Amino acid sequence: MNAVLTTISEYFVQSIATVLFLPLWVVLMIFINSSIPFLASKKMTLNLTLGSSFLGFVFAVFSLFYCIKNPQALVENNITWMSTDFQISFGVFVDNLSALMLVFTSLICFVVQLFSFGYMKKDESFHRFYIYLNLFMFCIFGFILASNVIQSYVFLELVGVITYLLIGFWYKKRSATRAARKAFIINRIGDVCLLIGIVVLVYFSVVFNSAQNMVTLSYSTLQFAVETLYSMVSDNAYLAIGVLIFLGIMAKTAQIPMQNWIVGTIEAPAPATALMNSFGIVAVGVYLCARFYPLFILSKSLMIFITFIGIVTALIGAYVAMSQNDLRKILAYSTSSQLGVVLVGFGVGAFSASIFCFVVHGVTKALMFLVGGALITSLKNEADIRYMGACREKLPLYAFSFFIGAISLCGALFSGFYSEASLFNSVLDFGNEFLSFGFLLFVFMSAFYLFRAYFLIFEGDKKDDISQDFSEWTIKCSIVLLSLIVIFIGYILRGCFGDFIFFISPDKLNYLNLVQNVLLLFVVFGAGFIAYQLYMAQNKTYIILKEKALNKSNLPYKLSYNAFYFDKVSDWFAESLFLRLCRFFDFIEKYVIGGIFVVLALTTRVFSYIFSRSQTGNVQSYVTYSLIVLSGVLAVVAVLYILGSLMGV
Amino acid sequence: MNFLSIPVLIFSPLIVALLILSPFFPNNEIKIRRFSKAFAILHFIYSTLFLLFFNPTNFGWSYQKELTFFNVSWLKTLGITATFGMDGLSLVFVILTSFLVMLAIIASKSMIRTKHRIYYPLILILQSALLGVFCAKDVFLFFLFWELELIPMYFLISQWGDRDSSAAMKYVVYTFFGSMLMLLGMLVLYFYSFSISGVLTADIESLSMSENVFAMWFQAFIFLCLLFGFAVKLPIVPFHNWLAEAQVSSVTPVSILMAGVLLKMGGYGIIRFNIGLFPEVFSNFAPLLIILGVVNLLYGACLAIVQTDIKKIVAYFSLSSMGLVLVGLGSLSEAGFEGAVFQMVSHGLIASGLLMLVGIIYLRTKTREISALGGLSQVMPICMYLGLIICLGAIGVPLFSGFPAGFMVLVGLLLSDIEPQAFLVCMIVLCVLGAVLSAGYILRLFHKTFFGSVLSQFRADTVQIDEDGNEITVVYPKRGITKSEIVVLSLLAFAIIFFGVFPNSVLDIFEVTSDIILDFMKV
Amino acid sequence: MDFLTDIKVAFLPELIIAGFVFINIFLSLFFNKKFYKTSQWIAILGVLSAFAAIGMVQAEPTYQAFNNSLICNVYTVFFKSLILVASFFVILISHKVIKKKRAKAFEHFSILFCAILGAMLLVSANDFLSAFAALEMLGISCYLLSALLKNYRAKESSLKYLISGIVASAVFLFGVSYIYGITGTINFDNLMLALEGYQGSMLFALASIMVVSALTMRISAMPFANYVPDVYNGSSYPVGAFLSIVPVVAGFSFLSRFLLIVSPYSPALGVVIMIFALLTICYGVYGALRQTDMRRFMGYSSTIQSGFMLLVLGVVNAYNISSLLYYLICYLFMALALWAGLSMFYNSTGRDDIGAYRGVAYSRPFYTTAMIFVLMAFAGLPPTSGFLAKFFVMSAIARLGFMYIIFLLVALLLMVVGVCVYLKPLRVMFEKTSENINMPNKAVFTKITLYVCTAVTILLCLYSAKIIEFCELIAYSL
Repeated sequence: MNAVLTTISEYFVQSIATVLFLPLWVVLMIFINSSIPFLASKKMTLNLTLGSSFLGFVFAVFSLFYCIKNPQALVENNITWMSTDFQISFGVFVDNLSALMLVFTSLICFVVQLFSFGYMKKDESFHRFYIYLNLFMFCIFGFILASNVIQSYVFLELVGVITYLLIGFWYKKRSATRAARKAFIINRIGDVCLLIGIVVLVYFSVVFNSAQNMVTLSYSTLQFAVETLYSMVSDNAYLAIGVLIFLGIMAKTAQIPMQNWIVGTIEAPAPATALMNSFGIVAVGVYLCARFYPLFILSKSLMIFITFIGIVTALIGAYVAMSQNDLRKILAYSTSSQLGVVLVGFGVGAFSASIFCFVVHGVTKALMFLVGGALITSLKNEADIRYMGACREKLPLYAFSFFIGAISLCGALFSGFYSEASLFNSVLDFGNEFLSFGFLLFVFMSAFYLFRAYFLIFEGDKKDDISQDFSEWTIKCSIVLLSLIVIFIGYILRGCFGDFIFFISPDKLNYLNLVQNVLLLFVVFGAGFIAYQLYMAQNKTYIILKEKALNKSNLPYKLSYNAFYFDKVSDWFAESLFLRLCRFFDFIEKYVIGGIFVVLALTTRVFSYIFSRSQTGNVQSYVTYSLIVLSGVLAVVAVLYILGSLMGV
Repeated sequence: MNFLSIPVLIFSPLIVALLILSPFFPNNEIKIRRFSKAFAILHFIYSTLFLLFFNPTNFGWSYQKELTFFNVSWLKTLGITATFGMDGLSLVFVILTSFLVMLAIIASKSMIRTKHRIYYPLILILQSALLGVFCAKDVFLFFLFWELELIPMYFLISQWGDRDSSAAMKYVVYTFFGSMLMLLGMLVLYFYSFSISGVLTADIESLSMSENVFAMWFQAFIFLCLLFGFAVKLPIVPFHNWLAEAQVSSVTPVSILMAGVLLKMGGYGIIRFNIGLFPEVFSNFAPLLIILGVVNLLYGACLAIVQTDIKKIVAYFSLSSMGLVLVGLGSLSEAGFEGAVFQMVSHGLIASGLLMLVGIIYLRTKTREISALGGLSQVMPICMYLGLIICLGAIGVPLFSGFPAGFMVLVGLLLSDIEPQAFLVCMIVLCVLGAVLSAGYILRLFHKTFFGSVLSQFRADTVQIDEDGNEITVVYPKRGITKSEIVVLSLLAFAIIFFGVFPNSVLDIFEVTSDIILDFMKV
Repeated sequence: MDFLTDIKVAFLPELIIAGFVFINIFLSLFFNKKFYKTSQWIAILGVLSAFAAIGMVQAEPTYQAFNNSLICNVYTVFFKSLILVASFFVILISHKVIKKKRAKAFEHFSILFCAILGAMLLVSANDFLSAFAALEMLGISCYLLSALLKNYRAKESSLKYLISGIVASAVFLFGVSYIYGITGTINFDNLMLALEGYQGSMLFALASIMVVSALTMRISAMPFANYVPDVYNGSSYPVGAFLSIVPVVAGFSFLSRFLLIVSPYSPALGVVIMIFALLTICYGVYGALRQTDMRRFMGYSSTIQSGFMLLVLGVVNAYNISSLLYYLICYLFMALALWAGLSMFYNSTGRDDIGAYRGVAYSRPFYTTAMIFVLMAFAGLPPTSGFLAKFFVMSAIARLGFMYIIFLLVALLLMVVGVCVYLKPLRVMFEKTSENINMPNKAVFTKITLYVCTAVTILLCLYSAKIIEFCELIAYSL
């Protein structure tokens, strides 16, 4: 039995490239399907898509199995994509990390696609949405299975493009297209920074590995390549390269100061938002960070930089999320903040804990966004949590699953507990008090905004007429499925991280440390209690406190509500500085460079005027001109001769 | 392979043009159009045959043919022969030319409504001239075809555009000005190589052998003269002023040819002459060229951002893209060089696509002001999707043809021997800044035209065409875009994706040629 | 009889032309206007028979006739055939003019033949005296030709031509008298002998400059080119064509032979000629920019072309002369083609302002194509012989050395303006117009001239190897 399984898994792993191209084939099929007006079938589209993602899941599971069976075994297949001075290959590369990521990505894709059927059924662009989802699958699988840095970059940009397409899915809405463009451009800025880093890496790999005819910057040799690099360049140069690469990761994971595009993802259809915030574009950043970990870990200052960015984002994101009123915005800022903590984990050296944290966050966030989306649709597109309330009675499933998600996300119970606790342990081990305190503050704020959202939405007074339940079976099915995953996945996987996913050597995750756990739980439930007091109980002191805090002129509140004015500052830079510069160039173009031609034309005109004025029609003047010219020339020649004879020629 | 004849390839469009012009050809616009279209397609197929029988590992000129008139060389006593040759580099541009001319003629169906009898012959004459430029193996033959392109282009710009003949004049004056200096350089080169080697020849290959004995300042003089001619065409920044105006005032198929092929003549010339004949001078001038390229890139991008005319945005996009070509060539490394050529091919496709989009929009809305447009996605969804592909190509997203070029140029820049390396890194940073800016203005173009609320006057089924005061109501298909336009856009989109996914398909063609040129430089 | 032998051996064509002068005058007494068509045929016959007679003359070795005052060699034969070819086409396009002036048809041709005779003699002249006589013969006939239209403008232009011509002749004689004073001879062969070992002096340089500038009157170059637009404006199209080609060809023939002898002994002369040439191009180019009358435009245009031809004469060597010869051949055909095209248009519409050409491209695409090629040839754009001709001129200058590059540069830059000049009529032709231009197809000869000359203009570019070899051969024979 075991042998058969091994054979099968080996087969699957060897033909893993199928996973990549299956979605493309599905795209083609959906395209054909949707172009035939009388045959266009939504069921068929759904089945094809689900089939492809399920097959992806199967492949992923078998690859994971293969990886478990053969520890430290890598599967790598490459074909040449581009060859000049250096060879750039495309290929597949399966190791523990990519197998695990593949499992979760395909799983979430599957769930999201299932959910989308109910959610998008009435939308006229149903087929287009599924085409996008499949393209997304192609890109993300291509990214996860990338065998080298350049392929990663290629698919990373493509994921950015798909994100752009998904955010701008309802392109008739101005806000959606604007958000899409913003997300694209900010990601692009990160991408090109990353690109510079990669170009430098390619340069070094070409220069130092020219003898070995190997795939440029393959992940199997990256460790060696960065060590060479580290020994070749100065510390500052190394830091610069690292920071450039990390800037790309920052943009993807929505870190300060490139975090604001993440709010734009809420313009996409809810399942797409869920995908993007869980195993979509943000996963790309984290995965890339894990892939580049050998590079980062060599430089101490780089690790500090990563930690710093992570914790600042975590705090700012959580702080901003506390005052938001749009449910989706809360969740979006929460993504940014949670990923900040994941990066903190990377920064303090807790590689496996970080990835654990990220995986758990992914499934949880997917659940919460799906619930949120379904909920908002049920409430006639009311997204403002202030106008919700007491939804638990009519929509118990949503309330229950939202609660599970919230609890898990703030690390109190379920899967989130394991991941948060192990990460917290690592942070404590790092030994920086500010960092530990910041982490606790982050946990507190996260718990606060999650409980606040829960209380405002599902408990309390009924504030609005709640429309009927969204009774599509696919929606319920997927939410239940995800809830189960959220509950159990942490428990199942807790041994996996550290033993199976690790950097260089296995390290056991320590999530059962009584003091820490109590501290963490205390903070979480303290935040929950405060939220309860503020939003549920009619305690007078708290109401006054709340009034004071929510005062429009209150600076902390304003900062939080306006997300620290990052938007305004960047707009100011773009509008006032950059556009003015461009207008100045335009001015130069029009009047200086364009003026040269005008001056030339004018000169010609003046000359032609002069020459045509000489045509008086008067023969005397003609003869005079001729004789003047002639005698002038004669005189000059004569003078020259005389001068020449004087000089003694 | 006897049926592969370069003279036939080059002169058949000219002959067809004269045939259409002659009094024997029926003066029926449909017949003229179909005939030229059929010919263009056949010509494209014929040119791809050259590719099929091309041996990419062949060292040197794969196809070579001297054209004689009754067994006499063209200018035998002067050592000037009408020799045509095709190596990998020429082949790439020949096929690009043939392809884009075909698309331009297909696109003309909806864009051109008057004077067919003269329009199609002019396009075909232009094609002959362009093919001649890319295949000429003799310096003066090159110059002949270079000049031949001027007159058809002048009429194409001035007659079918916005009737702003000053732009056409500007184009002619700029180009002719540049080419006169180029001629000066060529003449001096020709006679001085004669005075040194004693053999009167204008063959590019033979000339390249005798250069090293010249004094350096003298080589630099000739180099600069030649570069000036190409700089106007490419265009390099202070000499670029004609581009935007000529683009804006010419009709779409003509702008396609202008951006798609004409600008490439400059790049091709720099490779053949400045690099091929003066490698040593070129390597001295390389940092300057890189700086000029970066200036092109950023200046074009900055200008594109503030334009309100969508065609001007595309024109400055071209300017910006050509900067990357210059950077690639200046880097003097294999990757940079190949990246530059690839960028030329890719820009040819992408700029054509963008211009086609602009043309389609202009045809229906009669405006190119960005503020007056919007919501076209609801009228022309197919156009939007194809446009999206083209725009993504323009931004330089991977798996679209813009990316491999940019990537190769950047790596090539770093791989070059130019010191110090900090300079190169600075240039790389500035280049990628251009990539960010391109995302800015291309998306602005795309969003402002296609997205947002639909303007009431653009309805899908009937579109008012106003040509010379005549109001004609043309019923378009329901998708708001005609078949010929779909064909053009989708062929371009396909090519953009194809070359993005398989960059080696282009790189392999001219790899050996570029090796030869670069080896020559290192010696 | 020495005299008769000379004629038989070397000057039969001239004799034939002279004979036809008399035949025409004689016939004009007896035939009335009904037979005007015959006059054209007779003229064609005259030119053709002269052309046939050229084949019979002894050109190799050089034959010295009439006491060495005239010579006959390959060089002169070449120029004479050019003159006859030009005259042949000029007679072809004269059809409409003689139809209008039926009564004066024979007179017209007799004067024309006089002019041809003068030009041919100028080509052969081997001393200053015969040259002066030939110049005057050519000149006076030309003055008369330009007056033939008999309207106010024609008379005025003829008078202007006459006065300018007289001044030029005076300058010529002045210069010649100095040369005679220095060397004691007026015969070229003796001059050459006399100058051997001569160091050169200021006076000699001034004298040669004066002779050259007097000859610029015939080749319509500066400083004596001011009259050209006015004169062309007053004359009919065929006469304009004649004036812009035949005196120029004859003048260059004489000028190059003169310079060959003189230029080694007056070093300043080359630079002066080049400056004259650049001045001429400048004058022509900038003057033509503003012209609206096609004949005035043609005047400036022939000035521009002469300027380019004069440019190569700055240094006289075989290569330069051969490029001049090639340029002359090309110029001959492109000028004929353009004059034919213009006269075709004038004959059918009666207008000669540039605005009349508006929209021709749409009613007559083939005609326009021919005109495009011709104007491109004038501007020096490929694929026409004008391009190659200019190319040779430029290459001849580039070959001279690095110090001449400044002249080359200026000439090249002026060519840019030149392109604008020649694009102007083309632009007008393509302008949109509502009126349909009706051009009747009756002028067969003119049409033939236009298309044949255009074809030759293009073919000369493609099939040029032999022509250039030929030109070099002739240049070396000098």
